[in-house]
Amino acid sequence: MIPYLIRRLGWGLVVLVGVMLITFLLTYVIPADPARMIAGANASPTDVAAIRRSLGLDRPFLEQLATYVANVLHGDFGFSYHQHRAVLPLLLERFPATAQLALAGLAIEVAIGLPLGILAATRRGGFWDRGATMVTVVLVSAPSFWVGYLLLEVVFQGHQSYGIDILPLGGGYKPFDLRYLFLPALTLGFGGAAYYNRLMRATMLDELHRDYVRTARAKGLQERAVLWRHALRNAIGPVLIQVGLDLGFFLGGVVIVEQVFSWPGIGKLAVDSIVTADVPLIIGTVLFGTLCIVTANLFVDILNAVTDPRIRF
Amino acid sequence: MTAGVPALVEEIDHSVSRTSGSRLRRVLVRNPAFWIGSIGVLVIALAAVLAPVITSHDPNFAFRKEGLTAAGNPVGPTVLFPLGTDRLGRDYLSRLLYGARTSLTVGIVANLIATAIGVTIGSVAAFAGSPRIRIRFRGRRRELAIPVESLLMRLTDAVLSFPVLLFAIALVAILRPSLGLVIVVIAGVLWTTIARIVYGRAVVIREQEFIVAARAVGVRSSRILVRHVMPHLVSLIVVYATLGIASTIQFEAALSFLGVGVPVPAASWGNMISDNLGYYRTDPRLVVLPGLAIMVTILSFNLLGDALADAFDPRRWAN
Repeated sequence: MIPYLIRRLGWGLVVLVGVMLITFLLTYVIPADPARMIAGANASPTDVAAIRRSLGLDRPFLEQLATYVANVLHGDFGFSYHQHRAVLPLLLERFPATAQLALAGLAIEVAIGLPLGILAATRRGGFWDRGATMVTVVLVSAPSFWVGYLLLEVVFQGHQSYGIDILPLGGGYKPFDLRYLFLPALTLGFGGAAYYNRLMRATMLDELHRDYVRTARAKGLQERAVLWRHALRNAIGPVLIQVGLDLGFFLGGVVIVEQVFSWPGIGKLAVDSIVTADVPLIIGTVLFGTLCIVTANLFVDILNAVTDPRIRF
Repeated sequence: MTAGVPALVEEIDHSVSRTSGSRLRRVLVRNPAFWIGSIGVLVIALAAVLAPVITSHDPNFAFRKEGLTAAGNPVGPTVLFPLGTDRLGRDYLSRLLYGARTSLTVGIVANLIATAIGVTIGSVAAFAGSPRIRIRFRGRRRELAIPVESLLMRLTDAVLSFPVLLFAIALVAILRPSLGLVIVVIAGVLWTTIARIVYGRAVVIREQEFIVAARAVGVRSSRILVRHVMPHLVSLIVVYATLGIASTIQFEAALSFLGVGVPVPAASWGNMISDNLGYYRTDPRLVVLPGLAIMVTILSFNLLGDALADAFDPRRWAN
């Protein structure tokens, strides 16, 4: 198992370096001069040149690349032009907000998706199967930015017409306040729930057709026990893997939902930095997102290798 | 004898696809999802193609006098503007119709490119293996095995672990938005799904006896791929290309919503939503209509793709 994990770790590093190479090329080819953007519009040419030198922008391409990679590995993700601060602390500041949203959204995806999937698999072709498929295909087709605004409007109308005051109006963020978290998490969860419904249904159907299920039924086991103790235990594996991967994906920034609900996470930071053309910050979010995904992949691989005795690469 | 075996192989291929054709139709026409999906796709395609016929307004022309109220707000539905105007006094129906053009153009072109890349990488990875090439190194002949299969699939894995939306935002924001760039970026990040699926199926086909037979009589790998493997992949590709259009359109709408999609003033459903958010409370029409358009389009392609997937699934033919 150890060589397998070392290989996976090495592979994760290769992906990271690949992304670093691409992001570096991006900063290298952009038309805007970083030194001029830092110095401001009124800076004299000598000042700009001095900043260029201090940033190492006058060095050869490969040397710049090596410096960049070394910096990133030391946790230096660059310097935001617009906010005049290092990128990594900016990202880490936003991380708790994104993490809350990611966990809550994922919980809702799973809470909607898994029961529906199990229900659909056990009643294949029946009312619940068709119903769940129909509802989830509609949910997955609705763009999350639109759903988010519709939900906000429902809350607003409820407040205006009936004086209901449970949820905050217009989004916003308060640390660890479930009322603020509810709508963004619901919006995030709706889209993914459809996916989990399908995945759960497919893996469950796979398991229900296997011999051990037939054996369990043949020896007179109750259907409930067959379902929960036998089939589900085997079917849940791929779903848990997907949960791990999605968590990594979300932790890197939940771009659209954060934007809709003014949720001050990493995704919102990325979108805001488009407007200010803050290239190091945009690229920092991409790098950070990759790091989250690669870490999650690795974690899932380890968990998988430990829990599933069939996996021995 | 050598001539006989490939002919036999092709005959089997052909008979399989012929029977599946009629079964396919039978399963499809009985599935309501197929009808709803294809009618939806047809309606949206017609709306996009016939946009200049349906409406006589230029989608980018701002009617400063008729299209705005005295206070400068958008007007609601009138005879002149069937769906009202937007915040600049532009006819909303025209913008929705031309927005369909944008969505379908990006959706179809980007997805064609993504599918082409995905199918090529997936199938080549399954069939290339590790070809050996001969090189001269320090005057001596050496054989070098290039692990094409693992290289291509590791590349796919790598792109799969990109934060695709952030990456696309970064690319478009840095390189300035344009229709072409949006298409290339979307195709560049969304080809991985189909590559993995095609690879998964092609690896199974690779081990089948008719492929072994074809190899045994000396058919070249490239010919095996095109003549013997591709026919078995067509159904898979059709299904995922259809579903792919849905995800591509969703991706484009998201980029446009964030302001890094198709550049203004071109109409796109995503930027119509973000553009008119300020009027959401007073005039929900401006946000609800483009959102509905996105949803109906994506839903239609999803339903059509699901129906096709069902119909191609041999387990469905029994009943």
